Amino acid sequence: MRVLLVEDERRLADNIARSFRENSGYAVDIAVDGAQGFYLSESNAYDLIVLDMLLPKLDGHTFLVRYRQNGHVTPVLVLSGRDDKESVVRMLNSGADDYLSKPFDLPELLARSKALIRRGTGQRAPVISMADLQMDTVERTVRRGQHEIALAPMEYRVLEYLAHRPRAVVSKTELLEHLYDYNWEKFSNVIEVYISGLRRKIDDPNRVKLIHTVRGHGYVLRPGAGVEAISAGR
Amino acid sequence: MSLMVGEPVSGSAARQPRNPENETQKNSPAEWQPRAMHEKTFSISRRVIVVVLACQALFAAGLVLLAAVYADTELAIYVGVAGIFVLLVENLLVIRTVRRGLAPLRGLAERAGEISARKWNFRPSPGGEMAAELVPLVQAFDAALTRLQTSYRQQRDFTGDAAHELKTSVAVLKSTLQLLLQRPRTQREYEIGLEELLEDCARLEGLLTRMLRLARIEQQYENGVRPDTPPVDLVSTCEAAISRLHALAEERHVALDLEASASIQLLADPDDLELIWTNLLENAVQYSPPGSAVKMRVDLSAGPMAQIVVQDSGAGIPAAELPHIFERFRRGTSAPGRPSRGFGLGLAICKALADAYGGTIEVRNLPERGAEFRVDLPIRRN
Repeated sequence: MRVLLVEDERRLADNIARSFRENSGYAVDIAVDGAQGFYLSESNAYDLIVLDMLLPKLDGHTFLVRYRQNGHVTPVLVLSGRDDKESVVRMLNSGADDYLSKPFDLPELLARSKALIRRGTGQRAPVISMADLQMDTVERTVRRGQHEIALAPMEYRVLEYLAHRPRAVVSKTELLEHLYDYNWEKFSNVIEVYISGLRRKIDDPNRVKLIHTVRGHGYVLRPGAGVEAISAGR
Repeated sequence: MSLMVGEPVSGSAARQPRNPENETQKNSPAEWQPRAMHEKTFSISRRVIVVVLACQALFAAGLVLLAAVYADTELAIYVGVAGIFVLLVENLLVIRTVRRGLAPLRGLAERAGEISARKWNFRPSPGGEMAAELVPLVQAFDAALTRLQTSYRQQRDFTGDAAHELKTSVAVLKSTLQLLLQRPRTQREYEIGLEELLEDCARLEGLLTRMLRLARIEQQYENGVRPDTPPVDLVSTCEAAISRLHALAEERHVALDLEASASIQLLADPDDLELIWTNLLENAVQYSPPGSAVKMRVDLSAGPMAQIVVQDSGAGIPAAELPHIFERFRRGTSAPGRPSRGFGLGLAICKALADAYGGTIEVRNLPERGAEFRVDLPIRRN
């Protein structure tokens, strides 16, 4: 998952970004003013935007209005030091999905962010199940049947992204864009490595295969029945 | 900046007998008690009618008397009856005119009663009639309300901005702590975290100091209290500010030059003057490229004002930001690669201080490169 954080207080932005990376394994891009944030939001694919309200160059409200006018549906969580009801209502009515007032609790911000990302992809339950695969997005654990599977952090992130879009074909570029911050082009060769690692740990010991390659299109996570025809990439 | 406007009178204070000493104090609770609106009320319409009636009665009596003296009694009776009838009609007309003339006042009173923090409009509804005599009053009232509304809005914005800054500072502190506790860490990580917490505290402290300083300056200015200060040498305050900024300038490889042909004694608190220069110089140093120089010049040739100019050779100030640069919590665009650490209060403090001493502060971009801040302070010669 990739998060855009628009916050002009650099120290706060760094703390939030570190917390996202450490706790949730999200890739985080930081923008220190509204204009830079808006540019990033237009040129990259994000799973969540965390937006401060009082920003230099382009304030949070204008950012939000323009962003929604341009047709983007990425969830937006607003942070603000102004907790008067009017501002809250105004932001929510302009397309914000959630609101936290400063000073907030980091664990609460992380939990709300996770919930928003889940909702954004149509998932509701924090534990995503497919066949006998169970992925707990809060505890960050993966089980297949009775066995807990130890995944490397990047393998977990690849699987988490696929699991949030079950049965949808996800391209390599999409994976790269959502798993890395703005440096993602540098990592273009590594996705295959993580996919093969995941297959080895999740699919190889089991009869029902879940991770499939759709040649020329990308990857898909779905129960194995009848997918051999398109999983020619193995 | 007074955050406590219109505090209610506390119960005990209200019950106490009024102390004459208290009444001389500014902002004492007694000041907020509603005062008797007026000594005596009178009705304009009643007075007009009484005066008109008295004049008419005198006139009619005169007519009747004339008729009685120069003609016969019968004519006097006719004149009297006709006169009374005419007077009655005239009186009714007078009453109607006075009532109609005063009707807009009632409307204005209603509108005035509706004025609140949410509704500042006093102008009568368009299309309605208005006595020409009332127009200046309505205009004066409307202008006063507009000014009050502006200052109320500024106050509200300031409170909101101040809350935002304070809460952000606390949010930084809290997030540093919670990040540190997010998972077990090494001794070294804890040490770094604690150092960061100290930095966060220093930042919060800096914000509070600046906000309180700004509040104090403005309060002094509003109350018109100018502490009895002995004269202070202007150039020595500039030198003090330059030596204070020395370390920062050296770190950023920026030279600080002071140009002053003569000095003068000003009636001002040296700390206040030093604070203006320090803020301006700090601002200039931060926006100057390494290897450049910040120039400070004291000019006493401009008549009754002492002119102090601070010039840098940075990128200048974006045109859109120029009109707002002295507003509180207004942060300029930070130079690339340098995090913005200010609160946007330094220049607001400079302006508040310049205002408090009856001076002015201006900013402009230099034609070639950089920005120039100019402070004009009045020279009081005894």
